[in-house]
Amino acid sequence: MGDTLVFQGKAWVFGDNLDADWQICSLETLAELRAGGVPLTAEELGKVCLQPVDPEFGRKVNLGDFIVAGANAGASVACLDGDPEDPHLIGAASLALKGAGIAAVLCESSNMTFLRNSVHHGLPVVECRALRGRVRQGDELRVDLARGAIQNLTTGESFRFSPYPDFLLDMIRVAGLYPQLKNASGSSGT
Amino acid sequence: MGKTVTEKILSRAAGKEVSPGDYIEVSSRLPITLSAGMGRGAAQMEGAGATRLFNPQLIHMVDGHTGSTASHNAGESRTTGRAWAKKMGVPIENIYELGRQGIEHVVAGDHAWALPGEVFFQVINGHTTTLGALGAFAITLSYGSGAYMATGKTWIRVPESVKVVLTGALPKGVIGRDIAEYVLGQIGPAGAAGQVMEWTGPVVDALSMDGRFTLCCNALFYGAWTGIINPDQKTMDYVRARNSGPFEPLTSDPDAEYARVYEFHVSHVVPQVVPPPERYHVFPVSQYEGTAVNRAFVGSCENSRIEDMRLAATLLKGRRVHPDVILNITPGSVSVLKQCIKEGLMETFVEAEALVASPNCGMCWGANTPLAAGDVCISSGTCNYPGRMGSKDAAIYLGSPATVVASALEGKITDPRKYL
Repeated sequence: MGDTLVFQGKAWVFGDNLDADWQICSLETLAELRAGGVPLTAEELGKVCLQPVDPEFGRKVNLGDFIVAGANAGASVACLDGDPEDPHLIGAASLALKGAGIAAVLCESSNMTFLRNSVHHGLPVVECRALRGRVRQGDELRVDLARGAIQNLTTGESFRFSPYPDFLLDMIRVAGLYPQLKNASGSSGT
Repeated sequence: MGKTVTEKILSRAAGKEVSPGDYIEVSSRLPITLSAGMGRGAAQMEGAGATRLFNPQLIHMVDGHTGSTASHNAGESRTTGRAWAKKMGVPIENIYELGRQGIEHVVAGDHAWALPGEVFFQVINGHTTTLGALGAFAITLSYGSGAYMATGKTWIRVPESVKVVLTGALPKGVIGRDIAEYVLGQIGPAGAAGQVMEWTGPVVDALSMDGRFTLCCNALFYGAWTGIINPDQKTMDYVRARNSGPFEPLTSDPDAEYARVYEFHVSHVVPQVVPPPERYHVFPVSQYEGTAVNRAFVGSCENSRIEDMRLAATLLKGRRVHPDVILNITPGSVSVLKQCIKEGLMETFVEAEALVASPNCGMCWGANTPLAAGDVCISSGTCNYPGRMGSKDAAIYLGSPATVVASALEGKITDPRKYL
């Protein structure tokens, strides 16, 4: 196994304002799943991830692929970012992407609550303005999270971004804020 | 080079000079408010094996989202919340439940829990930005809330700021809400993505505190992380009347750097309407005048403060709601309700045959008098997506309380200016 912070996979390209509540993990779909008695796990949410935009997405996506979005990725107007009736589903969009096997979201800019919720769920969101228009559907990308480097292996182009500080890289390594907190409280005995 | 008010607040919170892009660790001495699903943070904390709150005294639980509704798990949520508060040692006086409830952002404003120059957190709701009107950096911690409540710390990447300068003067019948929507129509849903919207200019200076809360409440619709207004004498007077605690306001330097500056001359702006289903498609009221409505709502964290209630009463005084329409008026908090009673507004509402609901988010998210299939509603609530206020086969148009009430009087979308 290589460095856990270097990812390689295929790009799934979307536009501006990719919506957390209606496109990535639709609140309507969540309600349907609940009514059908489906457990709302990352795996189940992954199957319906981005369904309103591309009904086949959950089947076509491969483990380690990337979302490449425009401005305001993870846009949210539902005020809650997730399911108002389930405490475990805050940041449901981030959870769905993770469940679908997405390695990272690369975008021009991000909704900050979406970015924070994603990182807290262990899913990196990388903002890189230079990426706009430089990635096409299906391009093979390589992302080095710690060094702040994106390579488009299909076109040969490279891009830089400001890497996360160490504590957030660590959060990605341990798959989220709560595992990190658990490790910390385990070691300090509280 | 100067700094923005946000950079100054975060510099002080971090104990060092910071600039956009810096990652800092932050805590807050202010109350943190919880609302709907009071058990949320609890579940996150338990999942992480954290058993104690960093400071139970700072946890303020406000029953804003469920209130007196029978739906949305309200009863269970209250029981769970109470039990959790007791176990965690949250003082009973910090529980703003039925009888002293309200929308958490309105209650937080009523008490000035957020203070100029400080960082203010809320657990789960995107409209926490409302409190930016007090000159605070106000954000929701969302999924990070449980960790914050356990440790008293969170991380922040210092955001860039976008400056919005409003010049001219508000025409008659046009209020803060119309301006907030007008600007949304101009800059769109990514107009300030991930950034802070700093509202400035003579129009903001002249605006009441209630109007300023509305401007900041809208932040997430521009993609912004939060909104903020530089504190002035009006802010100081408002805060000092409500909170005796010490604070030190901060304001932007004249040479502060902004990612972008938008300037809007608002003297020509008319009442605005946001038709379904997109939140950012904004039009002058004339575009939709005459559209029949059978439901109307004055309330929500956008427009449920005393000034909104007074405006509604001005239009309703001596008139009656159209027989085809149910007009729901929901004061944002018990404080607002008390003031309505004191000023005689309640009598006006009741005489006009409006329904006055118990203070909470209520109808804005379908938690009281929900819309049925086929209903057409004009609302001062936050959102117009299908299903927001009940049936997904109902239509929601958004407008100011004045537009809502004028439309409720006529049974069709109406320009309120003829009543003012």
